[in-house]
Amino acid sequence: MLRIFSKITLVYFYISVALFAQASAQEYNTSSNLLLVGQFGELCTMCEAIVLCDDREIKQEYTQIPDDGSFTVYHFHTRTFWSQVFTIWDVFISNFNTSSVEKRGHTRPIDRYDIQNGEWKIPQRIDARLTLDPGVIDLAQTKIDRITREWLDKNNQAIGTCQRLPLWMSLETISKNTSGSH
Amino acid sequence: MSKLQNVWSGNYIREHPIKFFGIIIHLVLRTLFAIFWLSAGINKVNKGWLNTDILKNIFLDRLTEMPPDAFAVFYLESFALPMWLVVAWIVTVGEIYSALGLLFGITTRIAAGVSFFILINLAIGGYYDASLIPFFILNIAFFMWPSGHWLGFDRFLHRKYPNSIWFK
Repeated sequence: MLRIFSKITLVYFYISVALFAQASAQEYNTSSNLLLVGQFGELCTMCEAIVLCDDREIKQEYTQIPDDGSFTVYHFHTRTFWSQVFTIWDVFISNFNTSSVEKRGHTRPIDRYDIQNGEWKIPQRIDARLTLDPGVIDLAQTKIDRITREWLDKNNQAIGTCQRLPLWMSLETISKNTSGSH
Repeated sequence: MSKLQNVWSGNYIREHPIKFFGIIIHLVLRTLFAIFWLSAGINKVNKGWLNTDILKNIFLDRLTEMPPDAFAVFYLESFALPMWLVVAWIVTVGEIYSALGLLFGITTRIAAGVSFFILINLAIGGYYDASLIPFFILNIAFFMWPSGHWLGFDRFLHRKYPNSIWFK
C-alpha cells in the first residue's frame, strides 16, 4: 500500500514540476505602445475605455470629446461574463504559448456613436475584437491600427486617426448627449 | 489511518468508483490551480513586486479606471495604497506558499484558506471579475476536503502529528 502511494506521489510530483517548468519558461509579453494597452498589459477585463476617431490627417490630441465637429466615439465596455471566465484559460495557456493568445485576442461589446457636425446619432452596439498580434482593433465596418493609431476602412485604407480619451469625463459627455437613446 | 487515506488501494477503487473519480478530478484541479498560482507568484517576484514600487503604480493605475464612489476606491486609498509594500509581500509570498502547499499537499487546507484570503482581497480591491468565481469555488473545495491525505505530505505529517490543525 505504502509502495503504491509512494510511486503515485513520485509520478505526481514529477509531472507537476515538469508542468511548472514549462509554465515558467515563457512570460506573457505585451507592448505598452499599443492603443488601449497600458503599462500592465491589455485592456483589463473590467475596464472600460473611450476612443475617438476622426478623419483629420494631422493628428490632433483631444483632451475630451469636442462639442462640435464630425467624428466617431467608441465606448469599449467590460468583457462579457463568459469572456471574463475564459481569461483563466488564456492566462494559463499564455504561460506555455504567448503567441496563440496574442493572435486570438478577445472580443468585447462596444457602443459606436457617430457625431455629425455636433449632432449625436443613435448609438450602435457592436462587438470589437482586440488582438495584440497584429495590433489591431476590428470594429466590424472599420479597424484601428493599434500601433499607428490609424483608422482603417474594410480595405485597410486609412480614413483617419484615433486616440484614447479620459474615461469619466467622456462618459459624462456621452450620457449628456444620449440620454434616452438606449 | 482514516478511510480517506486508502484511496489508492484496489479495494477502495472497486468499492467507490465514483468517489475515486471525484478524487482524481479534485487532484487534477488542485495541481492545475497550484501551477497557475505558482506562476503568478514567481512572475510577481520577477517583475519586482518585492523590491520596487510596481504594485503602488498598479493601484494608482487602477484608481483611474474605477468610478470615484466605488468601495474599491475607498479600499485602495485607505488601506492598500498606504501599505502597498506590505500588501505586495503578503500577496506574493502568500501566492507562492499556497501554491506550494496545494502542489505538494502540505498544509493543504491552510494553503487553500490563504489563497481564498488573497482572492477576497483582490476582489474588494477592485480586481474582481467573473474569472474569480471558479477560483473561489475551487479553493472552497480544497478547503473542505482533506486532499493532502489523498496525495501529499499531509498524509505522513497527519499520522505523525494527529492533533495539529496544519495537517488535517
